[in-house]
Parts: sequence; C-alpha cells; structure tokens
Amino acid sequence: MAVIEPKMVTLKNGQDVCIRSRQLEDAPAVIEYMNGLFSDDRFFVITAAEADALKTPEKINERTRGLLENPNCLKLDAEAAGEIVSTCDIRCGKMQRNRHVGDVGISVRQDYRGLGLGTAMMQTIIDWATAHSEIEKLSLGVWDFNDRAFGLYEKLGFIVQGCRPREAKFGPDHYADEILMYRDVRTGANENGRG
Amino acid sequence: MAVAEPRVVTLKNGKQVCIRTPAVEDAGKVIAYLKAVFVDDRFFMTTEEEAQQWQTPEKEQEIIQKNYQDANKLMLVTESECRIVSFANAWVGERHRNQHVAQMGISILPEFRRVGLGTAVIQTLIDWTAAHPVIEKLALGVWAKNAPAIALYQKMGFVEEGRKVKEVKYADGSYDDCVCMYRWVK
Repeated sequence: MAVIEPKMVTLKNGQDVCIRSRQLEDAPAVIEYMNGLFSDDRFFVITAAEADALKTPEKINERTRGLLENPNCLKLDAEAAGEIVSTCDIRCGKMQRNRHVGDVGISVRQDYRGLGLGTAMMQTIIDWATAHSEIEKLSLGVWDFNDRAFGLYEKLGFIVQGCRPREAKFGPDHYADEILMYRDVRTGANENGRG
Repeated sequence: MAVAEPRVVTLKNGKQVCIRTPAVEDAGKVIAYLKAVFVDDRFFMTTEEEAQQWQTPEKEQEIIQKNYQDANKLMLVTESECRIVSFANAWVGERHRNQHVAQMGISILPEFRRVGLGTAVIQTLIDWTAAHPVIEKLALGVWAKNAPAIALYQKMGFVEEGRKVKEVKYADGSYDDCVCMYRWVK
C-alpha cells in the first residue's frame, strides 16, 4: 500500500480532521469506528451482524497487512479528537489486465456527514490515483436510494456505467438496485462529469 | 454439496457429450483443458501466463473438492471422448444481502463452438440456479468484442445491466469494455 503524507482539513463546522494512511496500530480505533458506523447498516452490503465477525484486532490487522503489501492499494482514515470518523480505500485489480482499475469504497460516521469530509476523502484518493503510474480508472457501486452518496460521486466527476436491478436484498420483497459509476483519472473531472 | 445430474447431449456435429460436475479424479483432464483453451486468452481476464500458475494438479483437486462441498458453488465440465471440451461454473454472493445473486462463467474449446454446446451448458447452469433455494438472479460479465458470446447470452434470456468502460487492458495497450448481463431464474 502506498502511504500518503498526513493532511489537515477544516470541515464546514470549523473542526480540523487529519486524513492519513491506515497503520497497524489503528485496530482498536477501527473497531470503535465500525461499532458506531454499523449501528445503521442500510448503505452497506455487509450487515451489522456480519460486521461483528470482522471486528477483531487480528482480522483488522490481517487486512491492513494485506493492503500494506500491495502498492496498488490505498487505505485512508480521517481522525478527529483521537477517533476515526471516516475511512476510504482503493483496491486495484490483481491481474495484468485489470491492474488499471481501482475499486473505491468510503464510509463517514453519521455525525460527520454533510460537513465536506466525504468530498475531502474522495478528492485525496482521486489525487493519489491520478498521480499513480498504473491507475487509469476508478469505479464504485452505490445503492439507488443513497442519494447523498450518488450526489457526492457525481460532483466529483463519476459517471454511471450501469444499473444492476435488485443487486441487494434487505428482506422479502425489499431490494435495491446497484448503480455502477466510474471516473477516468487520466482526464479532468470537468471533461468527465459535472464537477 | 453442489452436483448437477449428468446430462448427455447430442450436438449439431453429431457428437455425444456429457455435461457433469467434475470429481477430484478429473483434475488432470481439467488442466489439459485449461492449457488448450488459454492458447487464445483474448476473452479472459486471466492471461495465459497467469493461468499457468494455478494449473497444478494439487490446486485443481483442491478447487474441485471445495466446489463439491459448497452448496453455493457449482462446477460443470463437458466430456467428449474422454476429453474435457468445456468448463463452466456458478457461484453465489457470500453476504446475506447478495446471496440471491449468482455469477457465472463459461468457456468452450474452439472446435466445440457453434454446435449448440454453449446453449446446453448455460441451460444446465440456469436449471441449477432455478432449483437453488436462495438464488433469484444470474449475472455474468463478457467482453464487448466477444459478439458470439453476447448473442448466445441474449438468446438464453440475459439482458444488459451495465457496461464497464475500458475494464480490460491488453498488453498491447488496447482495451475492451465488460458488458454486465443478467437474467432472473425464478
């Protein structure tokens, strides 16, 4: 995993947060973050119950180590007052033919939404991907009811490349479509979308 | 355990083939098949060079064994005159919220294309997913330049749900899109 220089960002409410690369010693803070985040798991493919199984220091360190070994991965956390309040990552394809594509994931703690933090996190990984010698394309999926996330991605130059009907099932007759989006990091956001 | 009932099919070229789930003893034959089919690797994500890394009898036996024991994974081979001429598989999403979606993949040796084998193998996969208690949707990805495959999937009821732009990059610097297709199975 690439490691970025820590970066201070001032949010719309005046609070300062630090965006930096995930490290092995972050495991306890990550568990704390997941505990808060998964109290509302609607926007994730993983349910709160499934997340419980992943919330051990061993499992988190194993994943962090995996990311650290791969130069085409980036995992960022935003830290405020000693707590993680957002996390964002890029994982590139492992094959010769898909190494140029990075899958993006992001989450923001409930009480830090609407403050510009998602934009700052996404812009940081877009900048990293743009400077990366191999990455050409970032892609992601978002549930059709998650308007706020969709709006953020669109603002940052992501465009729709598909819509998968009923890709998530939340219960009997309760589904969501998955909107597939991508952003070409070799061209500017203005050529690519509305950003 | 996911095992499909063996199905004997007479192809348009007059040959009789058997579509069935491979057993551990088939590992050698599967590897011989993979070596033959990867000679032309244009339509795969894996290159021929990368494919060689997992073409060992031990790995193949392990994969066959794992699929055999997993109710959410199905492997199918087609045998003709003691030789494997097609390979296909389907696997179910691993999370509670995506276990109703299965993905599939299929490959066929060049001399067994355009004789109705793809139709028979895909139908076998569809039948398995339709009988599965949880699967509702069957999805796949195909390169946009693979027109015969896209036509076959359309004939089998698959429709496009997305087009991943420049998703595959070849060593010569050229690209292809990945067309995402699906059909309901219930």
